[in-house]
Amino acid sequence: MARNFLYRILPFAEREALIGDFDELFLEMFKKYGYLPALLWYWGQVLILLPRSSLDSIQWRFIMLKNYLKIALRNIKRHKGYSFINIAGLAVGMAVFILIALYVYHETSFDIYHEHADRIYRIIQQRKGNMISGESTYATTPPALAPALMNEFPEVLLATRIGPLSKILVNYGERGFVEDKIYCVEPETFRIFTIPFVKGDSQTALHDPFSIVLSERAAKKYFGNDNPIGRILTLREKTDFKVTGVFRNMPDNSHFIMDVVIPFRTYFLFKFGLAVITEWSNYGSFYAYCLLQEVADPIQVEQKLPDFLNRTKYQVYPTDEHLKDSYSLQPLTSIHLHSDAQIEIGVNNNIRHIRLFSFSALLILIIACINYMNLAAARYAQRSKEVGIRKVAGASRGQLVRQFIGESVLTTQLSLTVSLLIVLLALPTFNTFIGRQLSFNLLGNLELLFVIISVILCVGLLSGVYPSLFISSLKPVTSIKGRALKSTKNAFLRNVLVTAQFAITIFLIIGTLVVKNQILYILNKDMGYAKDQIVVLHTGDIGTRDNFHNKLETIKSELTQNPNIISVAGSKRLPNHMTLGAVDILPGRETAGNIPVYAMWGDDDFINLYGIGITAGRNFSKEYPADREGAILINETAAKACRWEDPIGKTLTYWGNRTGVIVGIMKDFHFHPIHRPIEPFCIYYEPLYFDYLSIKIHGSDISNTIAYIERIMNNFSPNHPFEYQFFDEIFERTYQTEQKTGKQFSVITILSILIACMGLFGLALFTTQQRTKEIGIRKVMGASVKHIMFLFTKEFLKWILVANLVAWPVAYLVMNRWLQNFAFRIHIGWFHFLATGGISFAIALITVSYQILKTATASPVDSLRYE
Amino acid sequence: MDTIGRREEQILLAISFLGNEAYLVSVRKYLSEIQGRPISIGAVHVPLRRLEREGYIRSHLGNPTPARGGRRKKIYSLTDRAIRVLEENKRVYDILWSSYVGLKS
Repeated sequence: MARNFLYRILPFAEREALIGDFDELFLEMFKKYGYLPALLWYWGQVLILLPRSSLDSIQWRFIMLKNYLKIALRNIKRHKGYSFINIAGLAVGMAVFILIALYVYHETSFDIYHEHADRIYRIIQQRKGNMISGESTYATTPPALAPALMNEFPEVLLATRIGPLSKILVNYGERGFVEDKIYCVEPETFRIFTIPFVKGDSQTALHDPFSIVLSERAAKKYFGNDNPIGRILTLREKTDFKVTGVFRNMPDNSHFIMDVVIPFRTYFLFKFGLAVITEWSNYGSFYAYCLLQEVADPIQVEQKLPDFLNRTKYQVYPTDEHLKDSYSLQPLTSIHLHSDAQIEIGVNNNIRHIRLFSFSALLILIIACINYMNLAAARYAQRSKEVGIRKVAGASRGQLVRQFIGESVLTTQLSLTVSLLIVLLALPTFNTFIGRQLSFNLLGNLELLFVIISVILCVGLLSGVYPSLFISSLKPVTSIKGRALKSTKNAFLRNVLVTAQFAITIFLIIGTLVVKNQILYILNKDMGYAKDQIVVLHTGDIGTRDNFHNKLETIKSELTQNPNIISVAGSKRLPNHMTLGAVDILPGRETAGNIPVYAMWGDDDFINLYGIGITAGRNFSKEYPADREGAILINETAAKACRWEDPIGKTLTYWGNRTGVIVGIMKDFHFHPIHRPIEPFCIYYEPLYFDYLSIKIHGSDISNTIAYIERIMNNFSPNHPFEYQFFDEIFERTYQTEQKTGKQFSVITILSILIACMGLFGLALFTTQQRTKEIGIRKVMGASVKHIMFLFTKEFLKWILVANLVAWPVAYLVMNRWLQNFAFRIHIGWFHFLATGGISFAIALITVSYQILKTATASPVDSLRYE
Repeated sequence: MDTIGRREEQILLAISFLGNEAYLVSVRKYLSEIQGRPISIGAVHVPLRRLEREGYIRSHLGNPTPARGGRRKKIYSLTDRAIRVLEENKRVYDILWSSYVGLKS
């Protein structure tokens, strides 16, 4: 071992003899003092030799390095303007890159922290038979699925069903919160997912039907620092649950986050009744997750599913072959970015977004690099004399290349430091911006650290390569004379690079404009319902249901006594997001089979309050007592899909056993987010049970009106914290993702404009410096300032024009693809391109003209002076 | 003018004494014994290298011996130049030493 080591560090010519010598001495020591001291001595010798031998070879390089470093630092100091543009530009580019890298890393890390992440799958279903949109994918599955899977498939090690219960009032004595992240799960959940318990036992915690398990966060919220185990929480002011466990908070990168967990069996207490737990129909929202055996092949499991469903689901509900739903396994880790199912368990991101982001981060980094290369090439060109002297003094080309690449790595390093600072400062803002809690702890994340450092080193190397190759290729005679810069090829390349970065910037500007326009379009589009001056109360859980609902009429009449309140309506959902779940409706023998129709229920004021028109028939009404027995409003699309000549008066069966008469047809409105087309939809009449109370108010004196509402509501449910929202805010929140994209895009664009301008400015500086004499001569010959300005700006603008022409088609294609996400969208028109062109010209002109003006107005005496 | 240091001179003399067995370990051993205290390897090796570079000694690889794990020795021998320098030094030293009187006077 030691000998091998020695072998390496010894100079080649003497290796054999010297090692022989050492061996002999070792043997001697061994005889005299024993093995260990001899060995120690041997190693000691190696250690003594090591620094000397390496120093020998490095020493001379260090001496040159010191010189290089000195020269580099002097150059940075001497050309403060250049250096600032250079370092700042690169730093901003890198900072953006690092921030986005952090974000992308976070988004792609969803759910991978689970120990068995690669073996966990969610079962999703493609439901057929929707005549409007064809197949649609649902993340929910029948509640009976998970237990059956575990029984019937040897490949399935564990399976669980998870049922989210939203907005449930949870009380600990006086202290109460409306819980949003409350779930009914089976005990297997804690074995499938990696959710470690801090207190209590994950295996037994959910044994008792009235046990409840909390996250650390929730436990702290209710009990402060007290021990939560054994304490009683009251749900809906009715049912008592005993705390049996506390689990560690689920990390932010989980596609759903649980705070309060109750046993699955208890689900019926809150929804639908006991029977639903073993139901094979698509009632409610249940999610089935399973953990496969290590050797199991998910594709094989998937292939066995149709047969399995025939034995189970379709035994209970016989269905035509072509209308059967197909089930598939969705890998856990792909849910956050790749799932495109309806009725998702949490808010997912879209892989398209992530790609768009990574792409723009790369673009910015490239722009910054191009800038850097340009400036460096320009600056190095001014140092041709230095290069000439170095060459004359015997520097090899390799040495020169190393020197200049080294310099560029040094600058890169400076920029990296600055950019890390920027990242640290900007991270809080960035976090609120993207709605995540990212932390910048590179040491805790070696993988990321490695990626970032290697990228940055590559940047330094790559952007240093071109300038250094160029400068080192000069002949000493010409370079000392300073003639090298006339090379037109070089100027051409620089122009191409600036054009390229402007093309990228133009692309980003167009992108921003399109995204912004699309968002404006969404927010201003007539959705078919009113959005303004509507106060929304979430009443799904006020008090206990029964005694509250009996008072609905009273609440309504009391509220409407205030002259500022126009009307009050109760409904299951709000018009912007009505996908409660599709319900099959039997439309009669004219069509083949059932049509899934989106459904919800509301009272007789709902349609009027939201200004949804009726095209045929009538609204629900108290004047028709028969409405209480079952009345339905369908939308125009549903009417078309049913293919009845006159749907009004037809009876429909829904939810297995309930029937209703169609009393009217609503005008189509966008009950889905605008990404999706309008689909069949219906509203049942239900005057008592609802989750939302919408109150239309007058625009004047809003705060008093709200106070009035609060007073009334507190009379009815004193324990419930009063919360209200305005409907237009709720509506805008539906398009949060798009708005966020818009904002993110504009920030990236502004940054890229900034960086591109820096590049252009640097180039202008360089060009005018190079041509000071030319300008001087022109002026002596009688050219006016205007003329010179024109001459120089013309050259720059020519390239900007080219950049525009290059960027337009690319931007058109890319943004068109983005717009495909929306069922209703704007068209990319000439306006976008012309506006962008205008903007880019204006920016370029402003950037360039300052420098040119300065040179053009300078006195020719100064510019022509030699020496 | 050929200049060699004191240690270098001693090493040259050791090599001439050791003849065919003059290599790093034996030179070091010989000098250590004469001086009565151990000399470090470096104190022998570095001058050896310089001497070889400057052309005072030349080296060839000797036969492998089992004591060295089968490795060959680098055996040194003096060049004419070294002999010339040694003799010149001896001549100068002899004269100087012959007139040495010490502290007695």
